Amino acid sequence: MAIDVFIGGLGCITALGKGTNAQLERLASGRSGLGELTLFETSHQATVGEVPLKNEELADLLNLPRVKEYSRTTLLGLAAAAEALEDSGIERDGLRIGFISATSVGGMDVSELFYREYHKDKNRGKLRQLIGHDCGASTQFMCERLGIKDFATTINTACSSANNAIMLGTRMIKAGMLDVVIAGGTDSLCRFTVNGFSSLGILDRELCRPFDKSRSGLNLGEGAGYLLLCSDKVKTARRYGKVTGYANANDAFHQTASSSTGDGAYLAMKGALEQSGSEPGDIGYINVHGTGTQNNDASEGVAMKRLFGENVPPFSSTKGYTGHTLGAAGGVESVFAVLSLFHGYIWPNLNFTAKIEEADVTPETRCIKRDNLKAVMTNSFGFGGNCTSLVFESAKN
Amino acid sequence: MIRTNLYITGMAGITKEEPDYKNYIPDAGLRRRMSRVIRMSVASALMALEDSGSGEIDAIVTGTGWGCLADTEKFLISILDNSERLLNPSSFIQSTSNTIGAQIALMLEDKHYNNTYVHGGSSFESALLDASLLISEGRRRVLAGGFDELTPTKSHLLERMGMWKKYICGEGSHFFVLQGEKGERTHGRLSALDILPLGIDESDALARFDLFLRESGADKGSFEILCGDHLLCYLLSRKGYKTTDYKHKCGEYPTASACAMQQAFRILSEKTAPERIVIVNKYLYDVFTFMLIEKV
Repeated sequence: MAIDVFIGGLGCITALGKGTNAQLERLASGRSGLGELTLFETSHQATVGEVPLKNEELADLLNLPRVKEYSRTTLLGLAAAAEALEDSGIERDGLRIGFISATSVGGMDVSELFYREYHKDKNRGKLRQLIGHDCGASTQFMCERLGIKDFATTINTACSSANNAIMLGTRMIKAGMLDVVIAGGTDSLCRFTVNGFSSLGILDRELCRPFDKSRSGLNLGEGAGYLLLCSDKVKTARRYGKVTGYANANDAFHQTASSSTGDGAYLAMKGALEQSGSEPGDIGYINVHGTGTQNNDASEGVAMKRLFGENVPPFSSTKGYTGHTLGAAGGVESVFAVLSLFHGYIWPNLNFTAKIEEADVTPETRCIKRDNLKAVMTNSFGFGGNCTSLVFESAKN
Repeated sequence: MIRTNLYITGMAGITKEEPDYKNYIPDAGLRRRMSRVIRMSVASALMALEDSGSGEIDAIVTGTGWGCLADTEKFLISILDNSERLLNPSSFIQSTSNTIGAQIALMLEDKHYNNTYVHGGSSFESALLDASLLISEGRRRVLAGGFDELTPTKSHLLERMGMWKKYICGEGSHFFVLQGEKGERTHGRLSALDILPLGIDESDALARFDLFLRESGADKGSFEILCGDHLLCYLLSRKGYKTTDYKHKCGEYPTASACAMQQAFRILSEKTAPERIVIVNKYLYDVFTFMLIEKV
């Protein structure tokens, strides 16, 4: 018999604040978290989505000793993962619990500080700043703090990473390997990615305008989002929904650009929909990838038309609120999609005025209350043509 | 312990000697743009497919502990040297750990499942776990690989940390074609896998090893051990097991267990080979992992 995978806890931290309640309140009231970059010195004029807490404040909130230098990725991740665990209210005794975390920058914010010194003189630089560099190191640290021992791994497929983490967690529970998995992703802002996306010429200095005709790039963001997934036998304070569909497909078109036919996005959405067993008409909302770049939104728009035809479900990109949180995006936006499903809202797509030319699709621009949503979808696409879609269904009968 | 049913129908690897890449990556421009780890890994992936006798796959899973270090460093240097101005995006694009999986998909025009694990010393094992799930979910042929490149900077930094006093530096890239059923040509089978939690000491690891032998059925017949941890090598030999330190061949790096797996299949193809080989892996201070490799 197929094992159902339930969502029993949520944790999230973004430019909208710390905690899922902060996200809910800001999403509903349409107040963006984007602003000027203040975390570090850079010559770039960038509009970003910074988490409004300093590293020291985060460490204090997490009861971590201040003596150590933590990567911001780890701090953000721990804040969200611990929230998901607490929110679920699970009794851990006897349960096999895993932690699957995604990150694309890992401890890069701290490694940058090291490398600045090392580059001047190969005998300089504090070696302890490198302990957290590898992506897996942030997961290991979080795992120890959370006391999770049964399984841990880290995924990096760039901007689709966290959706792949949620997908693996779901599959492991379905296969009977674990009872509970905390899955999602975390990434902090750092010079490396600000310069990287700037060098690609896809950073918008103004507020990003996803799915708008005038869009001219993305705003970077940071944050973390995790779902606590569990099997039917696990008691949780509430059940936000079920993970019923998931699929990863590759665009196999270009290392960074998406195809004009949206093959990867189409195959991922189609695969997730088929897996869920839902009809296209059951999808009441899609939290799209919608970065605000010319290329992504055109490709994703074409893919949605291919799959849903004239009946594209209500959709929005929430990157106008948080910026593009890269490896964390799938985690953050899965939390947003689950909040939509559970509380019955369709989140507005900020900064939209006119629809894109490449596909006849118009995002929702107002916050709409819609009770009895049956199912929602969320998309995350990354470098290397890596596309992953998830379908969440209501657990209310 | 995770029971796996993965028949290895193709395999290839690169450790110390690099092949003539022209045969696998004919496009000279592409070859030049690729960093060494990308060249090594893409070539060994294509060689593994060649060994399997078919280019058909329906998933790609990779594992890397260090990721694309050379490109990451190149982009960091350019940020510092050019004061953040007029940077070339190539190294940024290639710095992400899933570059290799993506590049293979591009070259094969493969639109299937593609995932990359970056979990230190159990990155390759994570990829194998995913492969095992994929096969049980109905996929036919999965391409799985583990790779890490030792750049001059990584080597220097590990030296400053004092690692090369205790360990032999290493690197490598190994790929495998995995199927749920025995093919015409099969090197053998991966039958069980275990990833222990972090912070387990040697005596606990030995106890877990005994449990692994019993649960996986490895102790039902003759077996030898390929071990990648000095102390455990000594302790297992003292218990009377025939134990070989596989890192003499490939050195210390996060996905060295992929090299051990290839060595295991080579040993199994010899006339005097035992029925089974158990791989005991550990990278520096990371987790212990066990794998059971069998003749079929």
